[in-house]
Amino acid sequence: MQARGRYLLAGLAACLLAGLYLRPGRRRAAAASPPEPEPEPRRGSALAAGPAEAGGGRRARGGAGPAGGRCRMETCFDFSRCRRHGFRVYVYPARGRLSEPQRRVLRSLRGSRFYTPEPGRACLLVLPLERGPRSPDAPARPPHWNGGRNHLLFSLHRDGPLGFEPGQALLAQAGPGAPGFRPRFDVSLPLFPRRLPQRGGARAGPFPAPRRYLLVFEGQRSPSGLGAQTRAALHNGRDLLLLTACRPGPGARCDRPAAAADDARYDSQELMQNSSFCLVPWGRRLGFFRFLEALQAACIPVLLSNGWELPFSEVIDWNKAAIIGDERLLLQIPSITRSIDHDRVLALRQQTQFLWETYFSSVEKIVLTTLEIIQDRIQAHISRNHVMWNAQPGGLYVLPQFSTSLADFPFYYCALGRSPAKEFTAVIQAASPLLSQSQPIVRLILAVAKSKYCTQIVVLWSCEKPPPPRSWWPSVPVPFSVVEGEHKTMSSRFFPYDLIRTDAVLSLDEDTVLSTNEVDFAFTVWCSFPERIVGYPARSHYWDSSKGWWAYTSKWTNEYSMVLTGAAFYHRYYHYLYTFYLPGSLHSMVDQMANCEDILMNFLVSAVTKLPPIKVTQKKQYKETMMQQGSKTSRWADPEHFAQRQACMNSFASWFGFMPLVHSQMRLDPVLFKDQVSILRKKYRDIERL
Amino acid sequence: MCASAKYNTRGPALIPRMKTKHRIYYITLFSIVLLGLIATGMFQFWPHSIESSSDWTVEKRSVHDVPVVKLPAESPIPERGDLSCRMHTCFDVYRCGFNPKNKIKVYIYSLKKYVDEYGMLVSNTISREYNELLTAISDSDFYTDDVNRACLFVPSIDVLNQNTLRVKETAQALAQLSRWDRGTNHLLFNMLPGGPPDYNTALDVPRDRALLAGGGFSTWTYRQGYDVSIPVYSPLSVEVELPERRPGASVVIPEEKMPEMYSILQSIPQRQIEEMQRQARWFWEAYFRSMKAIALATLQIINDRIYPYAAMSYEEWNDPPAVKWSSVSNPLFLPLIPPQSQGFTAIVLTYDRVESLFRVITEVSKVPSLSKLLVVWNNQNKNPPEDSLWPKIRVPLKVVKTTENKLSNRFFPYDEIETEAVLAIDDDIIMLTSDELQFGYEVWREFPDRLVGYPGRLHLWDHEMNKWKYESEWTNEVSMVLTGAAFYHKYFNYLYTYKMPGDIKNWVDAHMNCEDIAMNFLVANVTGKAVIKVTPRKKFKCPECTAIDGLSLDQTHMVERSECINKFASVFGTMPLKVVEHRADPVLYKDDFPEKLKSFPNIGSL
Repeated sequence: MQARGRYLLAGLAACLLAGLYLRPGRRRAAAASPPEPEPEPRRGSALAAGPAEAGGGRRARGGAGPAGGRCRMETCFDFSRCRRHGFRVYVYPARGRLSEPQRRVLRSLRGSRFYTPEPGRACLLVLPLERGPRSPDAPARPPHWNGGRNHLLFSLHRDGPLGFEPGQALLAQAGPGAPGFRPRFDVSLPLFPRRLPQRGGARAGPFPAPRRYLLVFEGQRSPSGLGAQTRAALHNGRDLLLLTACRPGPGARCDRPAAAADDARYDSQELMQNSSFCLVPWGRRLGFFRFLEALQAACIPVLLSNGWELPFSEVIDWNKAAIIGDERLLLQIPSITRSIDHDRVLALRQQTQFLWETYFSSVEKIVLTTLEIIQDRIQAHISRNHVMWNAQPGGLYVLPQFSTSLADFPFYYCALGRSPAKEFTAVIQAASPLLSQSQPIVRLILAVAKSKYCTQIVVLWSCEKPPPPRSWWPSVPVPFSVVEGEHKTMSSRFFPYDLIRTDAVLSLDEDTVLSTNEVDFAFTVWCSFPERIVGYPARSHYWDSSKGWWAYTSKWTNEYSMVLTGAAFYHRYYHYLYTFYLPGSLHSMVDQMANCEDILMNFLVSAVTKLPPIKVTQKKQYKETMMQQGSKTSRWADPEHFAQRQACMNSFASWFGFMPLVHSQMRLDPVLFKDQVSILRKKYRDIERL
Repeated sequence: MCASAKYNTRGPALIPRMKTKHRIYYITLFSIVLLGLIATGMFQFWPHSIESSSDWTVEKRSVHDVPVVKLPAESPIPERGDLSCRMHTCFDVYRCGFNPKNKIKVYIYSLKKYVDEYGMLVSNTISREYNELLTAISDSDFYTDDVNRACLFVPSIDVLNQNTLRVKETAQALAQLSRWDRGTNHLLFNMLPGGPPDYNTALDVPRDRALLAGGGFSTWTYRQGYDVSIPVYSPLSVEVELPERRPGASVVIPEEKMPEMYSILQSIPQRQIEEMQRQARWFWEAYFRSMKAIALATLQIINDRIYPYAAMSYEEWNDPPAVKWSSVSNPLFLPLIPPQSQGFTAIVLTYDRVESLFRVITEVSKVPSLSKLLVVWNNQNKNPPEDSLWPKIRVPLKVVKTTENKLSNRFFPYDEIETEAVLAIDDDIIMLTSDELQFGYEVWREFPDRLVGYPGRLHLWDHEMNKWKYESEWTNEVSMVLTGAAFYHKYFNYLYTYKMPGDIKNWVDAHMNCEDIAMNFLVANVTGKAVIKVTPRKKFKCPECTAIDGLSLDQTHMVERSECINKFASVFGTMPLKVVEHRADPVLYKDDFPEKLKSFPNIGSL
């Protein structure tokens, strides 16, 4: 008791001293009132010795907090709601009529992994905005409204103006920098066109090659004013094309109808496809659409965007994908675009493709990005950094809850100037009891343990019988452990056990037959491709147009798109992604069938990397034993097993919204594989021996 | 604090424990008050390093002989800071204009001594810190002494520490500056804002549209994209609106989470703590260490806003030199597989071996994905054969005549190359089958950012000679492919021609050798990736010797190639080549499978 008291005392004193010494300015900040009085907010709650709940309660009692216009996350958002159940999102049932974009946003929200049907467990509550006139005082008072606290509103262009004060609700809004935009509180959205797909979205095109036009703009102008002057000053008909259809307005006539006729030769999409830069003027709705269109066409947007809050500008570094100009300096635009060198144009254009594909190509991506931005604010100490948002594979596939350090992910080795550590953990899935020392699993353990890169062997015991004592297992020179999963399911083989500490994981089935040579070679290959799956037996898929579905094949083919995870290297991050990124529906599908977990893993990794897995060479005997031995492998011949895998592929493809698998036509062999030189010169000679 | 919740769950033991609990609370409360008092006391008497003193001698701006300006009591005062100011509303970009260097010009007002009507000084004289700051600006590239050319104005009125100045009179002094114009394009530096009783988080001196580079902003006083948040140059560092661009060097914890701070900090892995420490040290060194660093960083930030298209990138701001040095940002970073339909352009460099050249053309034209053939005629003394003599092939054939016999002509980014993929092939490589070439193209599509080639080579460290050595033996490893037959992206032609570091390009042309090694270095250096060798080794007709086969010549050749590697490694300052142990073969290569069902059956046969 006394000890506890002392700790409490010491803790409080430390808190206080920390508060006083490290951040005296904050104390001032809280007490200050620039330029109008700021409600006495948060300082007290941190230093008050009450429990967290009391702090939250006090604030709620204390009234509404700051007026909505001056909201920041720290003052208008109740973090304690997110602490108990994590970042969960509730969506109110919609009663009125919804606009099409609003409905599509809600669909994506309900389908996301953050969705919860219970408002009590939600950290964020999304209120659908109904169409038509709205009452000026808050939207019909939903049950948990509480001044808008922890609420999110998607205000999309077809919903018309908001019509009421959002209060403390976060506003995800597309539109020009409304004066009320609250930095790091509201989220700026893109205006998305009607034909944007719900999920998936188009893949990026080839590397951009130099294009015919330097800068294009296509739009409307009024006969007088900036539009006409701009055109006159910039258009040269050669590589600067400003095609504006004149639109007579009240009291103004078009004096140059010839120009409009001239312009009709060009198609706007085609222009964008053929130009390096696209002018996107400020403020008009047309400009917003043009912006995404330009991005998609790999045409670098030249934004004249004074005061325009660019989409997701909180996390996206637009300087890497667009030229941001000052609309007052419009006439400098040609010289600016000409001064940008070839290298930079190439980088900018690739970045437009990356951003388009990662954040804007489907409604779901836009919605998820919004949610992830808000989640990053709530968990500021475990949020994505600039690189994670702005480099491959993008923020949606990088979960900071796994790690906030770039070095722990498979994607940034080059950017960090590092290479993967030369060590791996072998994870063996054991489903049948250990009866004799001649079982394949024993031979497998011995062969893998002999690899100089192997630093640990983990057996995942998924057999119903209890695991045998340590003495039954072969003795190996590396740490060896047997893990008995809580749920002996298929998905548990990809659970991110804390035990696995190396970046590389060698995933194995108990009946896999491998030689040390093969393991060593595959591992050195993986070190060159740490973001991919590198393995031995491969499978392929194709589109069966007669049946209208994706077909799975295990025949010997000239190309492959999957590598079986019964014998494959991959980065341990994929365990985490498999477990926490994929939805429960896919996990339970895999568990119920006790099948397809490897297909799902291949889908996931290819969706992240956009690249095929890598097959390395294997001894010929491997395939034969695969077909004969063991309980599991015999299923390969089972037609029902095969039908299941086919069904899995189609379900997975529909969840992803596209087919992420990519074909490869090559296999990696040792440099001297089967070459006409003495076998003694070859490093991986066992691979050739039968 | 968590303790109370715990006790409540204990049921019967609740009442006797309450007393102890109360006692603890009282002791705690008392201690807090006591500690608070001590802390406040210490804080008050802590020496502030920004405290200016009037007695030191300022070297450049001597305070003794500056002109004195008397401010009448009724002289105008600027508006209070306009909180709605943004660069596009309150900043006059026309003053900055377009210039090729994309650099703003900064003017510093001359130093004056301001007194009020009664001759009392308006503020203490200029502090050492402010003097250092002005000196740093005047020594930098940003400085101009021509007030008419300036884009940004910095007053010589020191407002670093608000406690040392008289607010109203300082504002009057600002307002009478010759180009003040409501503070447009004026930059003020402040580190200790506010004063009793409010302790405002921004400078209290009315400043209208002037930009403020200040320490300790809160998010309410900070004008996003207009003001500049800087650190306070003092051991008592205050951070609210964190100094601009701050990744990976601090942990931001909402005040609400104070109670969890310990567990949050503990949960950060050691590896990351080390990274953050390195990052923090670099920030300190680069941007915060001295007034000079702070001043220049501030100007660079404003410069980046005025010329955003020429702004320093996030990485340039944030990556320490060690990371910049070792990290690689691949210029072809988009992960994709270009469509097969585009095909490739074959480029044959030739001098006068017409017969062999024609055979190569005939062989290469059989490759399905070939879309154009380009012959680079490097012989100025002889014209290429007449059109009618060339082999008739199914794709366009173009001959480019060069003006000088240089090896680098092979890597020129000719406008005639309309595909992304290029196949460089020597005029004597006739042993590659159509299957092998087509397969090489398919592999290139999977690795469009790499050199994909046939004969592989290796570099080794020679421990005896203590230098790099070139190796063409049958090795288990590969680090280069010969460009006598290799696929690569056209972009690398541009890089080779215009961005090759040092004198390598001229050196190669002068020695008529090693252009392939140079290309291998270049690609590995910008992409950080290894080459891909395709298909098994074939007996190439001595692909790297010139005319005669012979031991002595071969050895000279090897020595020369080794020298190239050493030369290039020293120019690049590093050894960019990556060693790998794999090569690419067709999926079914040497598999026991009917040959006629294989896509590329004719691989490796002689």
